[in-house]
Amino acid sequence: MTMATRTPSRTTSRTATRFVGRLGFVVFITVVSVFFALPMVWLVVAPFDANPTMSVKWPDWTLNNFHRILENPYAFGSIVNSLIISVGVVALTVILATLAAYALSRVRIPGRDALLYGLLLLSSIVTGTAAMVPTFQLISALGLINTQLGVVLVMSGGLLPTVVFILKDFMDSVPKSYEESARLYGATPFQILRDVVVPVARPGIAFVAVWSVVQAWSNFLVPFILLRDPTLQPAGVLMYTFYTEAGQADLRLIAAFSLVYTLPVVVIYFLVNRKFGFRFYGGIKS
Amino acid sequence: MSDITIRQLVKQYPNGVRGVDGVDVDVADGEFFALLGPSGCGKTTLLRSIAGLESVTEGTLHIGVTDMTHVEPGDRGVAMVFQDYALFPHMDVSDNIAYPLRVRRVPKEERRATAARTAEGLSLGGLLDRRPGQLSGGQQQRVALARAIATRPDVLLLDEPLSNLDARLRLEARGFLKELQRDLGVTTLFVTHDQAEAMALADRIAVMKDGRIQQIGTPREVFHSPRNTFVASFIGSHPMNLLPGRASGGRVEVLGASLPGPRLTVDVPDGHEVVWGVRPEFITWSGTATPDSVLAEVSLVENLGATALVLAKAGDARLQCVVSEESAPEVGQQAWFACPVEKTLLFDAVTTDRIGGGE
Repeated sequence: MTMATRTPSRTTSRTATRFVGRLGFVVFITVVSVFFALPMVWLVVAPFDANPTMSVKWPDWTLNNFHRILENPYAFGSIVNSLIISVGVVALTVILATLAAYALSRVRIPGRDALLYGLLLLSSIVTGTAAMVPTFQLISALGLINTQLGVVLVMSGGLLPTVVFILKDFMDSVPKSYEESARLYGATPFQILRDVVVPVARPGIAFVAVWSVVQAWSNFLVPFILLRDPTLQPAGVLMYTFYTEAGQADLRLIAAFSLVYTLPVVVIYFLVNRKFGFRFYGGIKS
Repeated sequence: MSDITIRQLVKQYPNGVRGVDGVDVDVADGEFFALLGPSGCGKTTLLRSIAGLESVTEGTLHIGVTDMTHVEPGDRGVAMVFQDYALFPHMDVSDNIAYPLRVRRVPKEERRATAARTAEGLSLGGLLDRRPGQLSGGQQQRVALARAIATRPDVLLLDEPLSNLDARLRLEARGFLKELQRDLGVTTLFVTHDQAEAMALADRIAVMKDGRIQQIGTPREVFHSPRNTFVASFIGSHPMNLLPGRASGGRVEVLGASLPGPRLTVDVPDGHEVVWGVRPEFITWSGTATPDSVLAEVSLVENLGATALVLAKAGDARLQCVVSEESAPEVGQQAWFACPVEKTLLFDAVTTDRIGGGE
């Protein structure tokens, strides 16, 4: 239908319908946004409130809550523990996954794709809660209960299938001629991986590294099960012990600690994004 | 000495297809050698087998006196320029050129000096700090060449070296490549599907089809004395006229006329079915009846600049000839077409091998 054939009344009703539809859409989006934004606002505001509650309100500004973190004997150590565990997980995951993904990307073995999908599927179903008891028994048999090494091993094991799967895709996209060219100059497979494949797949590696940090940093269950000693526990588990003498959740400490706990991940994300950039190098027509 | 000797080379894929099927090639030291053929003829597979990127199923490969059949690619003294150049996008031009030296653990200072010197020789002087993505196609190709020759290889392999360049740049790069090869004196093999490229660059050409060599010869030999109809039709910027005929008493009956036949290398009985072949460039026409010529009607004239391509029909058969643009006939005109007997070729209709004519 063209403008010229429209009668005025029809045009008006159409405009009205469109306006109402638009309004409904905006209201819906607003409600959804507020729903997701509220916890964020609480996270930013509550630490500076002298009397934080479970609701978001205009705070009674103070920095005292952060003093309470310093008073807690385990708080600073737990952040360090989180860092140790995360760095361990990222290092182990990225190194092993890079080697595995390169091999799986280049070597033709029967049932390779089935193996990858199988691992991915199993790792996303049978992790965490379902594997709690066998995981505990395994680590116990290895004598790694109450060690951070045990936590790093279990978390890395959980992340590896997904990371290998993602990295293999990145490595598949590295042109074969790059490697053949390096091979002709006498480069060993390891040199090819180090000099050519890893740099070209760097955006992918940076991505999985950040993703692994976030996963390790926020993991609660594994360290909760495997670590008994509070001096070894990471921040996420320690927060679970923040109660007042009266047995109430210590919201002032929890609020302040949550912010401190969140910041490193945000900082890492921006640093990695600036340093490596999630961009792609392209080859030329091939 | 870095001559290449290939004997009965076979590359069979797991599915039973033979990419290269019993090839014998000898490339002399310092020779510029072309592997020419249509796509899928096995020329690239043969090149990759020489590089060591494909394992060889049967046969032997020697470079100089050394048996290289099962030697690792990096130990063959072979450098290769890939069709997509395979420049490393994360390294600048200098690092790209010096990468082979880095693999060989040459000290950094020496690497940079060699890279700068090689780049200078290929007029890449001001581009050492650029990334490959910031270079034009021609510059990328020269960087790839620089990387290949920086290590002074015994053998240089080029896979479709000009195919990624646009038409004008291609002519320029062709001259450049030929000069470079002559200056370096390095044994060079290149793969191409473009017969003009092979004719212009190579000292000798191996024409391939279906994994087998059809003919090896100088550009002049493959042009004037093709061994069979495949080579005859593949070589030449205009396809050769190949028309069915019969041998009869030293002459050939073709296009409804009797034309003088060339000297036969094989005795054939009268009435033997042959294929009569003449290149369009050698055919002349006349508006009046001349002896030993074919009468045909001009059906199409294509202007090619200095020359014109004339398509004529005699019955169902089509005849092509290339004549000077000024003397081209009119469309619809009846004309007599003749060709010198020394340029006439005869092929066996069944085996397609050449049985007469040629140099």
